[in-house]
Amino acid sequence: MSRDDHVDDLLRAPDDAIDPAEQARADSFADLVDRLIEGRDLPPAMASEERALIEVAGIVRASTREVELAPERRAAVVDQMFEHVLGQAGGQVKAGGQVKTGGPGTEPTMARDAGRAEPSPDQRAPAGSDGADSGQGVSQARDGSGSAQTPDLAAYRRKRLSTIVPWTVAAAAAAAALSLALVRPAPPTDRLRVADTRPIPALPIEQRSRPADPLVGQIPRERVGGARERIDMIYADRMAGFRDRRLRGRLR
Amino acid sequence: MKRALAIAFLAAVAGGVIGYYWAGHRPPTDPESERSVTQLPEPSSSELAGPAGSAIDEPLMIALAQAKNFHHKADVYLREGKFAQAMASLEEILTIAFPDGAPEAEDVTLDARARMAKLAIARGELDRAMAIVEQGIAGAKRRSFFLANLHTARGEVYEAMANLLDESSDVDDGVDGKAAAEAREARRRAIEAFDQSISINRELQRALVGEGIR
Repeated sequence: MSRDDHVDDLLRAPDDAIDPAEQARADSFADLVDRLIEGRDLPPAMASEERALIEVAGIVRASTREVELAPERRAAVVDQMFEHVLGQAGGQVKAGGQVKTGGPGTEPTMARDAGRAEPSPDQRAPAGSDGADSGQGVSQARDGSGSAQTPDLAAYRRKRLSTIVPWTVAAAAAAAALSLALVRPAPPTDRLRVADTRPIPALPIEQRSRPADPLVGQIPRERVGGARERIDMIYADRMAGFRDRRLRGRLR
Repeated sequence: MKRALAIAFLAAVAGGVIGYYWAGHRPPTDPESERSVTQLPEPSSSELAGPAGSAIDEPLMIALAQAKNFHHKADVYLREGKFAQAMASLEEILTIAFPDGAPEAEDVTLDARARMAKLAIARGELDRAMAIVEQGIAGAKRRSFFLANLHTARGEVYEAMANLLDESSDVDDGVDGKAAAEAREARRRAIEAFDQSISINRELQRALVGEGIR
């Protein structure tokens, strides 16, 4: 269709009979309008006048009735906005609404009209490089009109978590250690002092140090110098008490 | 990612270790403070028999074992006729460090002195025997069968002195009667010593029978 054809159409009277060429152009334009309404892709190559007419038709259609986005498309738009906000926080999103994916020529342009993303030809190829997340930072968000590459929020969040979580755990551990140090129990001496106030069960007399008089008894005169026998007796008796105390202590 | 996780893990482990050592780990306490936890209240006991002390522990057993060994060592020396070494071995008992307040300490040292006195008497070293006995009696802090035994040894020393004086007076044949008088005085003191021993023994026997021998 040339510019002269349009001029001829405009000069044609409304009541003139429709010729086949005009019918063909009308069908073609109607097909484009249908594709616009149905949300399908438009031909990549169109005459500027025809593209302007199509856009006017879309505006007219949008102004005459409420447009409901498909759920998938709506989700894609929401994801794009989240990505926009989060990307700005992470310094990865330019103020102009373009998302950097890390590699050259991989900057998807976020379409603002009707929330539609129009990917560039370079974007259709997998993202070239994004460090360890190469090829994972961009995913295909599909709607009824086709596909648009948007950053994978899950991968992005994983990446942010992998950065934040270790330091969070480390900070929590340090805080726990510090809190333990601050609220640690009283020194052992204090605990001993408290323990001293408790009633202590008395040991049996056999397990205590005591005079040896009851054991030895009165020493006859002929045994005045018999200290060796007496020390043997005392030692054996105290050893029995010592062993008894030790064994009972282990059984408790 | 892995490096960050490794850093987090190491930080957590380090934090845990620091927290454990600062909060949970008790520094080892010295044995004295540990013993103070199990310190027994002073029990009621016979005043004559003396109060019971703390629990029988390793220091007391070690001290008793040392005294036992020195006595046996002296036995060996005596069998070989080495009186000086035997006395030296017995003197070692007087320097043993018993736990503070252990009643066995006085009993063992008094008994060692009694044996030393008997050995000195047998060797005719009466002055040495008397010095050993007098020091023991002077240092005694309670009345015990061992103190009574030492009084008996003291009486034996006086008895030996009296006998010696009697022999000398027989030789002098009453030139001035001085030796005979000293012998009488020694016998009198011997009787006093034996009476003192008997008195202590009676007191202790009554006390032990009264509260039941333990």
